[in-house]
Amino acid sequence: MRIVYKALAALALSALATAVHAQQYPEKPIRLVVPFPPGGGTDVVARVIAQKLGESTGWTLVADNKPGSGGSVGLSLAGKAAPDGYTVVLAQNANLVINPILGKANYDPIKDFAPIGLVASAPQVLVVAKDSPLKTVEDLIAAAKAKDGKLTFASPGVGTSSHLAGELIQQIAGVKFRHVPYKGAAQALPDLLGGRVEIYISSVPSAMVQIKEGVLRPIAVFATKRDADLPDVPTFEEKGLKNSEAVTWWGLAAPAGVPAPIVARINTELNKVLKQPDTRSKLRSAGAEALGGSSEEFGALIKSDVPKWTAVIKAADVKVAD
Amino acid sequence: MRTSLFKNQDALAGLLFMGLGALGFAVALGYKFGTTIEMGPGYFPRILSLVLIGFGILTFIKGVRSCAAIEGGWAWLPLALLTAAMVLFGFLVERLGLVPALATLIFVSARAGHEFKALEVLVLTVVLSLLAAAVFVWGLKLPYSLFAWNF
Amino acid sequence: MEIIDHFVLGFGVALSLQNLAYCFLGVLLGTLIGVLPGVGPLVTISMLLPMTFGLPPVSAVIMLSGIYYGAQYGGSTTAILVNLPGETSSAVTCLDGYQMARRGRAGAALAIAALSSFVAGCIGTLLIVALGVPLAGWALRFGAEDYFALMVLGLVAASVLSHGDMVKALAMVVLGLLIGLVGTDVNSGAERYTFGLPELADGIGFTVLAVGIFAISEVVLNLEQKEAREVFTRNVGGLMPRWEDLKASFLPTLRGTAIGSFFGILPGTGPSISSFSSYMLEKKLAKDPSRFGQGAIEGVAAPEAANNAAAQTAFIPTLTLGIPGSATMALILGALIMNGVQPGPSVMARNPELFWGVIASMFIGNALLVALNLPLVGLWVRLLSIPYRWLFPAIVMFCALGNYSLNNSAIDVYLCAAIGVLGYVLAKLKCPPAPLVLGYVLGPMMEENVRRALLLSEGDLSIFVRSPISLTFLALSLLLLISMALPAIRRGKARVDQEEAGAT
Repeated sequence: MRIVYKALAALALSALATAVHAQQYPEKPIRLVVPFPPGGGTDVVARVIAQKLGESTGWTLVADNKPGSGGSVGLSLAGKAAPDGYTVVLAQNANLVINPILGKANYDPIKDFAPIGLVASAPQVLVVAKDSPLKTVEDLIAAAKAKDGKLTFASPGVGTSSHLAGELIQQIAGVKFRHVPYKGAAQALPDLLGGRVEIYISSVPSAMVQIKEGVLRPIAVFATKRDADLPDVPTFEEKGLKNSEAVTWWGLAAPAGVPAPIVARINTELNKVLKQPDTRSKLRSAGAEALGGSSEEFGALIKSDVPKWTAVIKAADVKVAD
Repeated sequence: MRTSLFKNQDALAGLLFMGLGALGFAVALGYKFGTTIEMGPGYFPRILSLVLIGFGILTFIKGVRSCAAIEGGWAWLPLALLTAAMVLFGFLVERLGLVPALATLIFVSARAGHEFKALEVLVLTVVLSLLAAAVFVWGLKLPYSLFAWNF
Repeated sequence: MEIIDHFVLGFGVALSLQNLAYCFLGVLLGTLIGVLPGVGPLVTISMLLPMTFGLPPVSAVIMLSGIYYGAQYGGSTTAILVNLPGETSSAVTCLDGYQMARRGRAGAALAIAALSSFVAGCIGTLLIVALGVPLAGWALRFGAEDYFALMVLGLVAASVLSHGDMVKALAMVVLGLLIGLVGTDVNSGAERYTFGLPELADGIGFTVLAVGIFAISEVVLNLEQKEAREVFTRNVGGLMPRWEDLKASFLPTLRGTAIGSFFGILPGTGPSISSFSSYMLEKKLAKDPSRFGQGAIEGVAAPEAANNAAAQTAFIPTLTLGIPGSATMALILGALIMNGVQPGPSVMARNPELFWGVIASMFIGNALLVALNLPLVGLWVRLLSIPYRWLFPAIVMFCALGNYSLNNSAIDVYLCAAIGVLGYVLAKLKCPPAPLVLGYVLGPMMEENVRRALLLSEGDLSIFVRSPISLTFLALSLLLLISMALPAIRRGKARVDQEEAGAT
């Protein structure tokens, strides 16, 4: 019996300690691991969040860029860090969920990370060059069927969100494209504009400049509702291609085992910041829509994304480890 | 005139190329070769490795025939010290912080020189650490701690 | 004349006191950052980006682009002084610039680098103004097969880089090609030669390779002798280039500018290819090619002109099509968007004071860079009189710290150390480093493009001769091969004849 009391006492004490800990949290700067180099989309989102959280709470968040292997390096580093709440990571579905499925990462999105909260998202969009004969989703499907698997589809790389969105739409529409991978948008876009490839899939922010200039024509977005920046562009859902949602989302996560009160604390502050108009407009100018929500909702999203993309990758037979 | 194989400049170069080529080929055996029309990830590595081995053999033969010797001795000790200095820096920078890592790097690499005066090296360490901190940490605001304890 | 109105407008904007100050700040920061290895304009611009939010867009872009092209100037400084390439584009400058420094001509090398950069920068900017839109359209006609043929031409020309021993030079090219394959295969997504390390999935960085192979191995070579050796000759000649230096550099600078401008417009080819190409061209054209690698001033002027011209013309696809050619360009593009400016073809019409203001600032910035760099020459040269026992630990420190700052990753430092060992051994065995670096630069692009060309043509090999651009490059490669093989065959035959004569 005494052992039980002791254990209970210890438990109560540690709970108290964590509570106290959470109240004093943070006592030192928080490291925000950014799994991409300075300057990219993820880096911009991270810096907006770090700055805004700092302004509203007085915390110091230090963005620490750890790029490599499509985000796997930074995520793997953050997943192994001490779960004391002083290391958080700005994860994306591409690196948190998809890289492990592709065998490009050695962490488990559910077991190794504690979700804190969803930050923002941006849908994928299918685009063509301005002088392409393809104008609508119907044109696209008809052309793909007529060309019988030879319609060329450029992506910024094998296993990227854009590539997988392309695989998803092929599976839903029952057509086949010829996938031509590039090393990033900078290489793919000249070939699209030069007419050497026919379609390209990109996240909305990275194609926005060319769309606004009229150099690229958007055909449809991979989302459940139209994008605020592209109100005239239909979604694939509207065109009867159900379950075709493919977005890039960003979310804050911590290494698994981080005390629940700390997660709750960061989540509360994050949600406050994400409601500020200035944060929303800053994220908007980076092409991302501010989201927010509870850590449970974020966890549920990760749990539903894993089987979804596993199925897409399996059906498309996407392999990177060959 | 015969040169020992261990001093034969081209023969050693040939052996090095052959070794690296063989290593490259062996590793590339794990990648799909494909065909010329549909090249797999193993196509380029395997062919390039074979070409490297070929050039290695040519260089080796040339070395055996010309017998040109390596000029000067090998500086194994400075090489080992400089390599160690960089490796120690990489190991320590995230564990002890920038300043201890730099001090280690400078002390170990300075050992590779012809003269080593502890006081001079100390002054050099202070000056260079200040410079590095000013440029990288205060100037560029890179997230490096000057001192840390992460083990 | 419309263009004159544009320039009046542009200079009116750029010459305002505030914009002049931001331009100066930009090029100053750029020069300083270019001097350091590893830390490049990308990191600097992203650190400064938040600070530019409060500025008018035109001032922000003037400053950020100043950092970008200023870094190209600074990159040559450490390359010339201590064989440590500060930026990817200045690896080629090491070859002859450092040799000039060792012969007491560091001042002349630095000054020529600044002057040729200035000429190239101004011509490159003029090209943006005069031919930006047609050039951008022309660059779009380059397909995968054309890129492949261009890389083939580069590789054939690589043999020019050898000092005598052709076989070893070619072996080094192949070794470089293999090193370039490390990382994720673009076409299949497979990871090659990564040994399970995710840090290697993006390949071995250019800075990691160039610093290891040039700087580290050079330090070890200098420490070889037991007794203290004078690395640099004591009698430092005149700080400024002589009249004959200027004359010798004039045409190479113009040719380098032309080559650099060409590569700058092609997205993704990067400044290192342009500086290599212009170096090889100069060596091919030289009356006495053996001077190259021994401190030939053309070997500094041409590549420096090329990388600066490329840095300027890289703005063409960014400004006219909205397609960034490099990560740094993408960042400047991002800065425009965040400052509320929509970049792209219509920026000239919608936002003329921004467009012409930035263009005018590039002329001013290039002039400021010369004004800034020429007086600095004296200071840099004085650095060389520091005893080598103090200098070399500092070099090693900048190598380690610079490589660490690339990805904030210790793996890059370890890799650089390992490549330093390889570089030293290769240098002792008289294997030239330049072909290896060239192979590393060209290899991945060559593989990627040949496979993409075949994928797009559905396996039709005739694609390489059906495209006129590709056909031209392949024909040029063939011509170059023949022109090199003929004398070699003749020489070989002569030697055999001699040997036979000697045997009897």
